[in-house]
Amino acid sequence: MQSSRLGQSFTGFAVLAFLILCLGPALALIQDIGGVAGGNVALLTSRQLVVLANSVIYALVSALGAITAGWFIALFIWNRPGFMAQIIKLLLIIMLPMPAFIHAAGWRAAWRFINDVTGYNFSGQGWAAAVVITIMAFLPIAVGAAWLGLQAVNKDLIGVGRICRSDLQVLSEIILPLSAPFLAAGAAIISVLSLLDYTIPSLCQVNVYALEIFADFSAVNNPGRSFLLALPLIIVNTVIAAGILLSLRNAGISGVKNPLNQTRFWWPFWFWVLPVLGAVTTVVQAGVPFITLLLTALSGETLWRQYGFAGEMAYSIAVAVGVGVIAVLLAYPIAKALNQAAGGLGRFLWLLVLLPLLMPAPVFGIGLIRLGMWIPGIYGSDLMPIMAGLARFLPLAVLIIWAGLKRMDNSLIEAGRVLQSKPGHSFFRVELPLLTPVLLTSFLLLFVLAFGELGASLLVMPPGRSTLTITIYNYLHYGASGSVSVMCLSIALLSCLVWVGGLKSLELGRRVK
Amino acid sequence: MILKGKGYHTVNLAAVQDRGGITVRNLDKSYGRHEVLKNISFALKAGDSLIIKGPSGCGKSTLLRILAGLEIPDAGEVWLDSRVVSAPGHYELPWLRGIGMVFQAPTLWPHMTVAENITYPIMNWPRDKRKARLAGLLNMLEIADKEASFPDEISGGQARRVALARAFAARPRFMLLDEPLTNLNYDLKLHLLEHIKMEVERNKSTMIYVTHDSEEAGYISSNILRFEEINQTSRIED
Amino acid sequence: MLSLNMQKRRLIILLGLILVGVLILAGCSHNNETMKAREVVIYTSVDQVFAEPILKEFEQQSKIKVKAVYDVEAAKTTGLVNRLIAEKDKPQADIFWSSEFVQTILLQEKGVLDTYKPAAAADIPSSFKEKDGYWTAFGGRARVFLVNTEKVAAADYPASLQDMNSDKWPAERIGMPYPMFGTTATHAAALYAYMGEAEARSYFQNLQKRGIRIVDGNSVVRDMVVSGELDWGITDTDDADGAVKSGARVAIIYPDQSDMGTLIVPNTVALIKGAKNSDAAREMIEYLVSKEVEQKLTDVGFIQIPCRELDSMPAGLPVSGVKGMSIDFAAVYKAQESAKRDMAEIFVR
Repeated sequence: MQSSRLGQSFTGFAVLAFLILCLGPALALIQDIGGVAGGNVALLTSRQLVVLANSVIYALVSALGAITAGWFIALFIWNRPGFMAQIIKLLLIIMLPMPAFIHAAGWRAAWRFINDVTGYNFSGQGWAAAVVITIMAFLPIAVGAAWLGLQAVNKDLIGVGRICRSDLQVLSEIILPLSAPFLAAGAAIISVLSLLDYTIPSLCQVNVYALEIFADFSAVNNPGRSFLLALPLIIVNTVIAAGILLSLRNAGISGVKNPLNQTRFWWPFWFWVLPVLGAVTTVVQAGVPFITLLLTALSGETLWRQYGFAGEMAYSIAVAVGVGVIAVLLAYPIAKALNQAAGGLGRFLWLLVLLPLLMPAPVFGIGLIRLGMWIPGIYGSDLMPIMAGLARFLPLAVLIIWAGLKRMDNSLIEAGRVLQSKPGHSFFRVELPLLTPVLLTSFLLLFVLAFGELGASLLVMPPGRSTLTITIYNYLHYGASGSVSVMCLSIALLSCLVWVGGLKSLELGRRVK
Repeated sequence: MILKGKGYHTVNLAAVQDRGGITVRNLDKSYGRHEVLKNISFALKAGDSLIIKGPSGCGKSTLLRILAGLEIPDAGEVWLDSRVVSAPGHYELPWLRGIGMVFQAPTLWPHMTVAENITYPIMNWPRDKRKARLAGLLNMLEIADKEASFPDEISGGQARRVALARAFAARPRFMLLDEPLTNLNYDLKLHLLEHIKMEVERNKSTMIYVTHDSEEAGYISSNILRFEEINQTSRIED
Repeated sequence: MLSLNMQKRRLIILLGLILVGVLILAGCSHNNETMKAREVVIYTSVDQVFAEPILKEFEQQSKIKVKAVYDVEAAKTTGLVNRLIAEKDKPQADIFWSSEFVQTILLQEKGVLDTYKPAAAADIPSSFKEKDGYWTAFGGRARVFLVNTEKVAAADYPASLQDMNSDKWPAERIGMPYPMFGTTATHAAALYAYMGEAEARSYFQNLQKRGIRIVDGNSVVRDMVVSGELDWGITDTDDADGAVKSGARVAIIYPDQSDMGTLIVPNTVALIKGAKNSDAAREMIEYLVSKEVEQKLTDVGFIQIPCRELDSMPAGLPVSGVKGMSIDFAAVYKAQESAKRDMAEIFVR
C-alpha cells in the first residue's frame, strides 16, 4: 500500500540521513586514500594473512560458542518462565553495556583466585581464554537472538508437531530449523563485533587483525591507508553480513505474534541439563565481573574525584537518549522501505544498511571529523557524539524494527489506513501502538550501545565534555580500579532501571484491561 | 441429540469410559481472571463424532487444545479410551495421546515440503509403509503433483488438504478438527467433507468437529454440543 | 483503576519529563560554561587523573574557562593526534599537552603547531626546547623496570634492557607493553635511533622469539607485576610509582645506568596554529611549563624526572640522579615510523 506524500518525503529524508551519517564517514576518507602509495597496502603479507585467518577463526568459534550457549539459555527462559527466568533476563540486560575489559578483568581475577585455591597455574592467556571471555561478553546478544528466534515460531506449528512426535524431536525438527535464521543472524553479528574488537584479545595476549589496523594507524597516522588495510576485514565482514541478510530474508517469520508459551515441554533429563547449565552460565557471566567490581569498589582504593562523575553520567545519558530517539525516528521509515523492497534492489539496500556495522570505529571518527568540517555549526557541538553513536548503531535499529515489521500482520495496518476518517489518524492510532514494543526495544538497545561507545566518540567529543566510558578508560589506565568499579556498577544500575522501566511500560501496553 | 455444554453430566460415565472414546469431566479453564471454560462435561463413545458449535470466543478452540494436551485445565479430567490423560497432578504428553488435529489455519511447517509435512507423524513407520501411506493420501486428496512443493508454493485450498492429510496420516484414534474448512468454496468443502467422513469411518476414529456451518455439521454428525457464552463481554483467543 | 489510555499517557509524560530533565541537566553545565567570557581548549594525552586538577587550578586562578579533551589509552594514540591533524584547517584546540614528545614532533611536521617561547621556561635546559619555539618540554617519566620483590631476590634484579633477552630470567615471567603504542613505541624508536635500525630490530626479534609476555599497556605490566603474574616488566615511572605508593612489594630499577642510560620521556606543550583563543592559550602555556606546575605534578607522582631543581624532589629518585639516554628528540621521531612498522611485523602474529 502506498504511503502518503508526507510519509514518502520523510522516508527520503531518513534514507538521506542514513547515507550521510553511516556511509558518509567512510566516503569522506576517500581523499586520504588518494594520497596513499598503493600496492604494498592492498596486498597482505603472509604474516598479515595468518593474523587475519586467526582472527576469523577466533571470531567464528566465539560466535558459535556464544550462540550455542545463548540458545540453551533462551530455551531455559522460554520453557520455564517464572522468577528464575526473570532473574536470568535481568542479569543479561545488566551485563549488556558492560565494557569488554570488565569481563576480562573479572575473569582474570577469578582465574587468579582459582589458581591460589587449587594450586593450579592456569595463566588466563591465549586463544582459549580470549574465546571464553568473548563468549561471556557477547552472551546477552546471543540470548537475545535466540529468544527472538523462539518467539518467531508460530505456536500452532509447534502444537501440531507436539501431537505427532516427542517434545525433543519437535525441538530439533521444527523449532530449531524455524529459529535458525535468527541464530545465524545472531552468530553473524557476534562474529563481526569480535572481528572489530581487539580489547579482549590483547588483554589475553593474542593478536588479531584489528590490532594490526590500529598499529598501522598509530605508525603512519594516515586514515586512508588504514582504511585500505581494513578492507580485508571489511570484505570478510561483508561475507558474514551477507549471511545475516540471507538468513533473515529466508526466515519465514510467522506473521502471527507468538508471545505466549503453551504447556511446558518435556525433555529428557540428559537434555535438560544443558539449559540449566546455560542458566548457571548466565549467573556466572554476570557474577564473576560483578563480584570483582564490588570487591574492588569496597577495597578502599577508591579515588573519589572532587567533582564526582555525575556530569559525565548526565552527559552520557543525554547522548544515549539522543541516539536512541533519533535512531528510532530514522530507522522506522528505512525498515519499512526495506520491507517493501524486493529482488536485487532489496539485496543491495540491505547491504548498504549493514555496511556500517562492518567498519572499525576510528574510521567513523575520522570520517565524521571530515564530514563535520563541511557542515557549519555541527563540528564541535554536542551533535557530534550523537552522530558517532548513530553512525555506528543505526543499522542495528533498522534490523530490529524490520524484524518487528515482518512479524506484524500487515492487514491490521492496511485496515487502519482504509478505515481512517482523517489523514494520519491510522498512523497514530493503529500503526504506532502496534509498533510500540519494537520501537521501544530498538530505543533501549541503542541507548545501551551508545552509552558504552568509545572508539568513534573519543575522536569527536566536544571540548569540555566527556562520557562515562571515556572516564572509565582513563581511570582504569591510571589504576583507580575502585573508581572504575563504582562507575561500572552505576552503569549496571542505570541499565537495570532503564530496562525494567521499559519492560514495565511494555507490560502496560500489553495489558488488555 | 443436542447436549448443553454448561453443567451437563452424562448419566453413566463409568460405562461410557469402559467403552473408550472421549470423556470430559468438570473442565475449568481461565486465563487470568477471564473464565473460558466452566464446568464442561460430556462423553463421546468410541467411533462417534461430535459437533461443537457456539459463538466466537466461547472456548471451543481452548477445549480442543486441552484435549490435545496443548493446554492444561485448571480443574477437571480428560479421558481418552479409558485412560486419564489430564487430571489434577496427572498429564499425558500430546504425542502419546494418539491424536490427529487440524487447526483453523493450515499450519504447515514452512521449511518442510508437502510430503515431509504429511509424513511427519509417521516418521517411525517403516519406509515402504510410510511411502505407501503418503501416496494414498496424496491421491485421495488430489495433491499428488504438489508432493515436492513447499507451503508457500501452494494455494490455500491445497494447504488445507495437506493439513488434513497430515492429521490422518497416522490413522489416529482421535481426530480434532477446529473449523478446518473455513473460507473454502462449496464444491471443495463438500469434497473434503466426504474424505473426512470416509477416513474417520475407515480408521474408526472418535472425532470432535468444531464449526459454525450447519450444513457441515449435519454432514458429519447429529451429535451437537452447543457452547453458551460464559461472559458476554469476554474476548477469547480462538 | 485508571484506564489503559490514562496510564499510557501518564507514562509518556513521565518519560518525557525525565528526558527533558536529563537534557537540561546536561545543558546546565554547558550554559554555566558559556557564561564566562574567556576560554581555552586544550587537548591532552596526560592522564585525566593528573591533568584535571592542574587545569582546574589554572581555571580558578586565571578565571579562564578550560575545556579539555582527554585521550584514552585504549585508543592506542590514534585518538588526539589524528584528531588534531584532521582539524588542521579549522582547529578547535588551542593547546596540545602531551605526556611524551614524538607525537608532538609529528604535529610540528604536519604543520599543526605554532611557535611560542614561554618566559616561564627560561630555567628549562635548552635541549628540552624546540629551537624555533614549536614546543617546550618539561619534567617527565622514565622507562624503568618494575620488579616483584617477592618473586625476585635483590641480587637477581635486572639492570639492563639486554637482560630481557637473557636466559637468566624466564621469558614468560617478563612483561612489556605493545611496542607499537604509547611510550613503549617511543622507547622502541629511541632504541632504533641509539643502536641503529639493524641492531634494534634484532633485539626485538629476540624478545619475540624468547616469548616475552606482550601486554596491553604500561598499567597492565604494573598490575601483573604487583599480582605476581609477572616477575618483572618494563613500564613508566608514574605507573611504577603508583604501585610503590599503594604498598605493593615492588622495586623500581632505572636500567642501563652504567651504559646507554635510561630513556626519559618528557612532557611537551605546544600552541596550535590558528588557535581561536591564542591569548588565553599563551597564558596557559606559561602556567603549564612553570616550576610551580612541575612541582605539583612531581608531588602527585606524574613526574619522576623533573627538568629543573625543585623545592622537593620526588621520593624514590636515586640520590645520584638518573643517567638519561643521550638521544636527540628529532632523531627519535625520525626513527619512529620504521620502528612501529617493524614492531607490528614482529609482534602482531
